[in-house]
Order: sequence, then structure tokens, then C-alpha cells
Amino acid sequence: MAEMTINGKKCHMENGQTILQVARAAGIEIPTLCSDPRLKPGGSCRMCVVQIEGRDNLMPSCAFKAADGMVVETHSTKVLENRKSTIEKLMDKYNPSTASPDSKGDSRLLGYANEYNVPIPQIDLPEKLAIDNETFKLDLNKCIRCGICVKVTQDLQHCNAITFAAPASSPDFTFNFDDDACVRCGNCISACPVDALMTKKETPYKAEEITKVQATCQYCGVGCQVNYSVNKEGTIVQAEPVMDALNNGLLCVKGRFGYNYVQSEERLTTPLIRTNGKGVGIEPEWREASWDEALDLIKNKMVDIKDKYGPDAFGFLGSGKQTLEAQYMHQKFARTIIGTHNVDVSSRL
Amino acid sequence: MSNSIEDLETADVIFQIGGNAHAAHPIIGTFLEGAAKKGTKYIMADPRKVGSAKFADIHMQQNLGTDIALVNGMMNHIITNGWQNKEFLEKHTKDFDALWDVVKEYTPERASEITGVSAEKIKEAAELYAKAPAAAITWGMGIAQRANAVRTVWTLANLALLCGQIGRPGTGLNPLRGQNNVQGSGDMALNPGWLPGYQMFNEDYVEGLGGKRETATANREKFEKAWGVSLPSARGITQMEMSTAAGEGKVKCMYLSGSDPIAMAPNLNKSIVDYCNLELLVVQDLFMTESAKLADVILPASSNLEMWGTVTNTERRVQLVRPVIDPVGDSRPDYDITLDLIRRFGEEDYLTGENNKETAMNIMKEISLLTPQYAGVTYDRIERMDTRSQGVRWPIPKDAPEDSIGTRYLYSTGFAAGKVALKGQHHTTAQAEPPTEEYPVTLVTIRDLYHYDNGSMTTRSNTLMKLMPHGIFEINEETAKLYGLSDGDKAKVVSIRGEAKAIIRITDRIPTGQVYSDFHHADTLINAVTQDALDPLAKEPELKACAVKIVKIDGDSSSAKLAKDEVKEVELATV
Repeated sequence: MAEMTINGKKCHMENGQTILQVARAAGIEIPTLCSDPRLKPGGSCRMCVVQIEGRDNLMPSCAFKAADGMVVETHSTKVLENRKSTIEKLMDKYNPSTASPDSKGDSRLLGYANEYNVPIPQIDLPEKLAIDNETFKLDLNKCIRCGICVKVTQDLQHCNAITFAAPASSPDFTFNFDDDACVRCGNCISACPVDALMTKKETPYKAEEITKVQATCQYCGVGCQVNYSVNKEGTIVQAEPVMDALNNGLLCVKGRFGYNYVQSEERLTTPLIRTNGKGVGIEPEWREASWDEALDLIKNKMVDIKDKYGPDAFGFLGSGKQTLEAQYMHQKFARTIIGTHNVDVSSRL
Repeated sequence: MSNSIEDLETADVIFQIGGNAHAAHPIIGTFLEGAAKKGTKYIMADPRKVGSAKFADIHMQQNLGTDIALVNGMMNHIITNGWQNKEFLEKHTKDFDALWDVVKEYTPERASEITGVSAEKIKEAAELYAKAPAAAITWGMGIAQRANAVRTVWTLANLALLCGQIGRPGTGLNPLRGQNNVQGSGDMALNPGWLPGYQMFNEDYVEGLGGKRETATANREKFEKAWGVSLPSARGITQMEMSTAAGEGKVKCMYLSGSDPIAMAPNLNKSIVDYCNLELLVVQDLFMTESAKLADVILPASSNLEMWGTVTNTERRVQLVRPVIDPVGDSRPDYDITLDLIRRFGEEDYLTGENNKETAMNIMKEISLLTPQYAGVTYDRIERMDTRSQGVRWPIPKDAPEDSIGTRYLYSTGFAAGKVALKGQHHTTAQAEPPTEEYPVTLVTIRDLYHYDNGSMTTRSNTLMKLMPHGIFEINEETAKLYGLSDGDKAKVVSIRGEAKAIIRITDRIPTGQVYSDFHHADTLINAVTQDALDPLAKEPELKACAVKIVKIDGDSSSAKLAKDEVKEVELATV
């Protein structure tokens, strides 16, 4: 069994793994910006440098392969100093303000600046937008040119919507954005480590005021895992993919933006009883009712119909959008209370 | 799916027919595209150049309704060259000769005449599929929503069995489910023909399938004992039959829970008349849907983000929904409403717990007791599996190890019924309603990337409505010329049953003489046009094709025409 030592701890490793992968598997945290476990190593930001015994230069752990017997320090004085200077250089060109109403407030760079005691200047530069459409924007004053968004569109979403328009070092650096190729999934936004790519928020919220709950997406049969963010008023304000789930940190446009219906003004909020007759072209009229009244009315009518016409005068139609528990109870009601197998599901359609 | 999502990523060959994951199952779509870029051979059979078509190694654009002939042509070429998996056929199948009797008529050349796909492409696809170490078939509603749906699925099963491409990683028969718990609806027996866990209860029916009468009796008795009731032995009727029976006065009461058949079922004008004939229509939903407008009583249901519960995805993975917010207004979870009704009928309610989670867990306990596939499903187990393997895939036995994530693929040791019969199917009429002189165009209904089902959920998202604000009719340049239509024109599509309006979009992705429409927009309601011809076995309606004419709606051009940039170029899906 191959083994290496990280910060004095023996770590199991497999051939082909990077130092970063071995460290993470062993629960050792190394800061990263340009690295995303789903993508080819970035190796450009130098946040993840480590000291390898027998080497003078610090090496990026996201790209450097682990080797049997290797001894690594991830937080030695030399490493910490180097990392601090990396943060200082990045902060020089970074707009630290989270004042933009669309800021997600989740910049890892700001987090590291705090952690490594790099002063954060109190400035707020105007936005310099490289992407600006009805859904998204990309602020170059927050971009560290790590290229994660480009790789996400190339290697995960396969839309190639974002490409470099100039070398990362160029003073006129910007991106090309292919609006027709973009499917508005927002997966580049979820992967952006520095809050440069943002969704235009429909409901403003502050990062520190939201709580997140994981649930299964409401739409198709893939079953993506989603973290729904709720603000302090109890409104769902954001849906983000769970990184470590079957959807591999990806969502589609429906999964990301299709949650407003839940708290739509048009939701039915109380039982309704019809007050006029039915027929083609007749507009329905309703009155509000209590649950007791509505359910008793249903029960009494059902008893009458069953007495008069028998159990097969009933039809039950459930849905593929309901929970297993709801579906099970729906068919159980039909089969046990009414006594009919006239049960079906709308998912045929 | 017989296999799992990771099998679609690891297959050597993917054969996708009548489905567009790119738009209808977008995350699986990205996985398929990624696999194709890494070297998986991607065979696509779809009349339209769907979203992932540019990633396909072979794209066969078959004529509508010719899937059986296409796959028969592939099988003909495979058998002629002796590429079938003889060992697998011997061990797991029967009636190979009967299959050959059918398939021998479909040389690639004859299949080419029927399908419009070149014989060369059919041969190439057949060879790739047959010779692959592991090849997976996947499909969507393009196969299912047809009057010959069951026979087409049998034909795909024949192909998989012929080549032994099932029961191993990277293989299998993999229909993609359109809603997050369609799989569960079958598992939980929202079906007139079986009890939870596909446990058939009608002796004649089981015998007809080649099973034993005693099995049906035992299944029925098991549930009678568990539920303390006596169950009828006759099978019930399906959705489309219920609606017709309502029109005929045989069905008097319908209870729609989360379903909107008026908007979703074909031949909407007939559906409205049928449903108006009911003495009691109960609709339990989140919104005032088209169906709810015909209700006598409406019950407000909570959404899945307001309660505990489970859903089973397309790969049989049982996953959790959690209460992200409190129930909106006085709405209640569906299962709570049902339990309340049960109490009003004077029956004992032994499932309602101290709180919402306990109620949901109590119901799951009963499900797992009665449903063999779910025997080992518990909330504890699902919550433990919170990494990449979130959830557990059925079947999972009760005594499965603590860290078991269930079953990745089915049939690893063969089939429960022993040797399965190869049921050869002939190509018959391509469409239940062929085009006529008066109705010369074929309408195909599809799903698009930006919306979902009847639109009750997605049309309430500002972002999604910005991206696709209304229904669209897709036609190609030549069809447009024939009917004097331009991009952005308002038009109506008319069949003998009714008409629907939307905006014309001209595209080069579809053949001449076809119009594609989504069914998500209430201002289009395309199902006024679609037909209700049914598959004789599954009673699935032929939503995928009917004969129509396209008529331009004239009038004030500023209101009839939409600025092109107002509508984001969207991906419409044949599913």
C-alpha cells in the first residue's frame, strides 16, 4: 500500500492522485481557488502550494502528483508566507465589496484574506461587466482569471459558452460569451470561487442571513440534489446544486430558476367549493371553505355515489410529481376505502 | 431503468432513440455529451436534430412512427452477420426462430425504404451496438407516447437480448423518467393492474403473462390481510378510459391528486365534456389548473418543498424531499389530506405521527413491509447516504448491510421468469392518424428545456418566462414557404378535434411536413389538437403524432409578431 506523509500524518494514497486529493481524502484542508475537483487541475492561482521534502520550490498541490514515501507540509511558515503574498497580489486587483445586490457573498478569496490576515480595503469599484444578460452577469473587477467558468462550460456543460478573449495576463483581459450557446444553467456561477459570476437576484438577500436545506429537485427524473436557500422572511431565494451528489454539482435551468412557483401569489391556500354549475365555457365560481367542511362534503358525496353506483364509479388519478408517501396513500384510499382498482397516474402524458 | 445513470456514462456505446435528454433530462444530457467526448460511441435515432445531435457519431433521422422497422433492420443485419450473443440467447431467451421469422423481412435496404434512413447508417449502428463490450439503450416519450408503444419497447428489448446487452455495467434498457417520481408512481401502484411493488392480483392476467394463478391470489391476500379489507380481483381502468367512462356516465366521481388531465391529456375538448359529466370532481393541487376549473371541490396541497417525503428517480434511487419552508397558507401535504379523509370514513388512522416527519416515516415503514423492492428503504439509511450515492437504489433487502446503497443494475443473474421470449414485432402503419389532403402536416408534441408539464410550475418563474414566454410551433423553411409563414408569425394548428395558437419558429432541425409544439403553455393548450388513439396494451395515447394544418393568424403585425430577440432561441425536445 502506497503511503505519504502530510503534516506528520501518514496518508494512504493511490497512484495518479495529486497531493491535494490525498490531503482532502485524509481530511487535511488546503486552500484552493482555481482548482475544482471535477475539472483538470488549474495550477495557476498558487493558493494550494505546499512544501515537498527535498525540493526547494513550493509546488501547487492540485497539479503535483503524490508519490510513495513523499513528505509534505501544507502549512509551514514558508508556505504560509507564500500563500499570504499570493492573496495580497490577488487582492490588489480584486473589488472586495459585496455591496452589489447580486453578490452571493461567498468569495473564497475574501475568506482566505481574513484567514491569512490580509487587510481588505474598504473600496467599492463600479462593476465592469463581461457578461450581462437577463439572467447572469460577470464582473471583471472581481475576476481572478482562474478559468474555472471556461472549463465548466467546456468540460461539464459542453456548451462552450464562455471563452477567454485575451490572455489572462493582458491588461484588456475579457471573455467572449456565446449567448446562443448558453442554456442558462448557471453551472459556471456555482463553480466561480470569487463571486465574479452572479445570478441577477429576483429577491435580494444577504449571504449571512440565509439558511440552506438540501432536497431533491422538483422537476425531471434525474433526481438532482439541490440546496435551497431561505432568507429570514422565509422566502426561497436561491437554488444551488449539491456538489457531492449524483448531479456532480450541476443543475439545469429549471432546477436553478424554477422554484418561484412554491411561493407564488397564485398558490391555492384554502379549500374551495364550487357555487355554480359546470359546462363547456362556463366560468367557475367558488367560495372558500374550511378543511372540515370541504372534506366532510367530499366524504358524504363519495358515500352517496358508492351506495348508488358501486366502487367502480370512481376514478383516482395521482401524479409522478408527488412523494411515494402521497402516491401510496392515494392508491390505498382508492383500494381500501372505496374498493376499486381504478387508479392511475398522469405521468403517461 | 434496468441500469443506472453512471452506466450511461461508462457504456462503450449509447443508443438513444425517441428521447432528448439534453432538454428533458438536462443533467443526464450533459453526462451523455461528456461520455461521447471521451470516446463513447453515441448513436441517436430521432426525426429531429435534438440538442445533443452534434455529439452523435451516427444520427438516424427516421420517419415518424417507424422505430420498429428501424430496430428490426438493425437486428436483421446483426443476425445475418452472426453478431448475436449466442451464449446469452441460449441461456436466457427463447423463441429466437420466431424473432428471425419476423426480422428476416427487414433487410437494411427494406428498413431504409420504410424509415428514410440510409441502409449504411442502419448497418453501422447495428455493428457498433452488437460488437460493443457494453452498450446501453435509452429512450423517452418518443417511444412511449405512441399507439404502438408497447410493441416498440418489446422491439428494443429484443435488440438488447439478442446482443446480451443487459445485466452488466454499461448496458441495459433505460427509459428516462420525466418527473421526479414517475418511477415511484409505478412502484406504488398508481396503476389499475397491480398492487405496490408490481404485485399482480388478477389470476387471468397473470396466467396470460405466463405466470401462476396462485401468485395473483397470494398477492391479493397479502394486501387484504395487511389492510384488513377485501380487494376486488378485477383490474381497474386507466386514465383515458376513466375520462371516457365519465363521459358515458359510468364513472361518477374522480379524484385528481397533483394531476391535470385537461391540460395534459389528448383531445382536450372531449376531456372537458367528459369531466363536466361527473357528479363529483375533487382536485387536489397547488394551482387553479385547467382541471381544477372543472372541480366541485378544490383542496390546496403543499408542494414537495414543504414536507418530508421520498421520491424515486429514473435509476430507482429513493431520495428525500425535506421541508425547506412551512406549508403555504392552509395547504397540507397530500398524504395528510388522505389520512384525514380516511378518519372521516370512520377508519382507524394508525399512520399519522406526532409531526410531519414521523407521519412520512410511518407510511414508508408500511411501504417497505409490503413492497419487496423497498424492504430495506428507511429514512435513516437514505440520510446516511448523503454523498455521491445520496439515496438508495431498489431493490434493497431488509437485512442489507448498513452502508449498502442498493442495486446499481438489474438482471445480473438472469430473469425472474427464467428464459424470456423474444417477441418479434412487425412494422405496421406508421401513424394512427396519417396526414390527409386537408390536414397534410404531422404535429409532434415535445418538451422544451425551459418549461415542464402543464407549465403550472415553470410559468411562475420570472426567469423561465423571460427565456420562453409562450408556446412555439417549430417548422422548417420549406414547410414555412408552403404555408406562407415567417419566423415570429402568430399561427394556429388545426386538427379535426380542435385548434391551438402559438408563435412560428423556423429551424433547420426538422424535416418538411412536420410541426413541433411544446405543451407547457396555457395560452396554447396544444392538447385541443392531439388525438386520443391508444396503445391497445398500455392504453398510452398517441400524443406524438396527429394530422393537422397550419394557418397563419393575420392582424395587427405589431401584436402578432414578436421581436426576434424577445424570444431566446430555446431547445425544444422530442421526448
